[in-house]
Amino acid sequence: MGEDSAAPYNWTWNNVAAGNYSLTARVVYDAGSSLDSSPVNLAVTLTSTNLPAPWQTADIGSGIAVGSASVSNGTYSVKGAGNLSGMADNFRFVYQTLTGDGEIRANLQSLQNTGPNGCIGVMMRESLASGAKYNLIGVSTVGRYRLQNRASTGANSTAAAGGGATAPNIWLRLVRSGSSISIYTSTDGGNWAQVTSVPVTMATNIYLGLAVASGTTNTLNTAAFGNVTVVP
Amino acid sequence: MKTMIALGLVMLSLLLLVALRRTDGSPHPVAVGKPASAQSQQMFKVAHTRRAASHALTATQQAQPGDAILPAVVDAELDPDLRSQALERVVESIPDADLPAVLDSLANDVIPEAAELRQLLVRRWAERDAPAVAAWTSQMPESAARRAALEQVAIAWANTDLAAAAGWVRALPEGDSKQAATQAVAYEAARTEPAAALELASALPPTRERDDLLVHAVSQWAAADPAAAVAWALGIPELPARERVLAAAAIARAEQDGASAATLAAQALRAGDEQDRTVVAIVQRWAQNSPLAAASWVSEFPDLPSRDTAVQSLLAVWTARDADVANHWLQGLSAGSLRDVGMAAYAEAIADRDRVGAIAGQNPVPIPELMVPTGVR
Repeated sequence: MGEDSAAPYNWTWNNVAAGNYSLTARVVYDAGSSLDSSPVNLAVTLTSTNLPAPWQTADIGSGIAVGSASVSNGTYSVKGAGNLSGMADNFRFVYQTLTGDGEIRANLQSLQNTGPNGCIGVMMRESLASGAKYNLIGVSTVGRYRLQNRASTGANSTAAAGGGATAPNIWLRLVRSGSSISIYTSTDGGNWAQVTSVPVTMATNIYLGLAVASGTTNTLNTAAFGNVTVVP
Repeated sequence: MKTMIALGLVMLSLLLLVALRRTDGSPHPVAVGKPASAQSQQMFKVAHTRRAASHALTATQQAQPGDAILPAVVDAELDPDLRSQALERVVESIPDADLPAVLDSLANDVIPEAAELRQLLVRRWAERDAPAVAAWTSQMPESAARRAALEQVAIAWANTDLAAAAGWVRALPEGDSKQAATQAVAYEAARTEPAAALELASALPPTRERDDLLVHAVSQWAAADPAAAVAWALGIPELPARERVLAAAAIARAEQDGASAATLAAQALRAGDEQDRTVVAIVQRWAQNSPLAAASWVSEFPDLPSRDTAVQSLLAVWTARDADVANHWLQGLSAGSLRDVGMAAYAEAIADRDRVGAIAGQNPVPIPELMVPTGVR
């Protein structure tokens, strides 16, 4: 990658593409002898995005292919790897904060089939930690509605499957009111059917947004959301 | 004897999981129409594996009563949801008194199911007797397993005795596990005692994860006691972290006091992405309670993209609540960029309202198919 033969022995790595890297430093001395450092693992993520304020995006958890998000003409294109299952999540999250009551609704216009374990939808999440409480209404990447939650920090998430869902006629909505979250689906964005309402004990200030998990750690799923509306 | 039975059940479950994974690690096929030949073979393979597991179950049930978990374990191998459910059943099947012995037996098991099972068992034990399991973890060498165990103890203990949990993490030997446990206690504390959470978080090294925790805790504090939260945030030495936290404080108070939030955002944050996000978030909240005041603030912004986003957010909320007043405000603006952007946002909000109004009630949605807790995806 580079080298420096004079003290203080530094080198700058520019224009680094997003991804996961393992770096090793090698010192060469006595005309040919060398010694390697232990490898240092690091993840490079893109901090620049054209998402409008106050949206932000990040990979939640670790050990997955680096995701991304952008917007064009009101359509949010979100690429994410990872899984929403078990005791800790890893996935791509496009989010903003929610204070007290509020809601998010979005039209999932397209998604890729990246196998049976992927999940894409709208989420309310207590924190950005990988084991945080959350509620999600979405679809599996093979096209069935998914209702998921983690009721207690660090506990297993639970999931339920519903009927078939066909993009672009997938509209998803979460509404927090007091200590409950109501969950809705629609095929047109105008006529909403309540799936359920669940009691939730989350902090006052939480996050809501768009979640994309491809179902594997190294494959990205690209999903497109339109008509994203948030009342924070 | 009971301990031996429990150990036997756990080990047999894990062995089956491993065997099934090696036999067929593919996800559960969803049969649609007549299966293709390859799919038929695949399904046969799964069925054969299940039969083998059932035979094992029968033998286990004869020797060790009280457990019907293994069919679920078989399914769990085919779907991550069911695998988690099956592991939960394994946890439930173990008597409290046997938890230490079972955990000891799993100490050197490296398969993922064993790691997950360890965490579940530690969590269950910690929910019943956190000091005991905390003492048990002290013999674990520093490792990913220790880190995961300490996190589970921290979460459970913080929810039953926050002060004791905080004292415990402070006394832990330095290392990754201590940091993970401290962070876990702090996140739980943030819900009800954000000041205590911040005291714990202050002991963590300055990482992105710590800053996320600071933001989270200050957000909760600022909703209840904004002055104290802001005063605390101003003491953060690192500028990027301080700005993130102050931004969170400003947003958290915007719903109750938009003017103060606006002042904080203007005075405490440098121009840039953080300030832009904060300003728009404040406008979103302020507009719900005092749209005219929020509009007045927005109209003073310099002509930058962030102003356009703020105006769009303002009009989206305002038009939905009182389109006539929003329109009246727009008509009073001088010609220029602010008015143009506002008019466009107003038109978009009206169009969306009309679109929804036109279809509402015309296409009744049937009650959604019942969501059932299965592994069907």
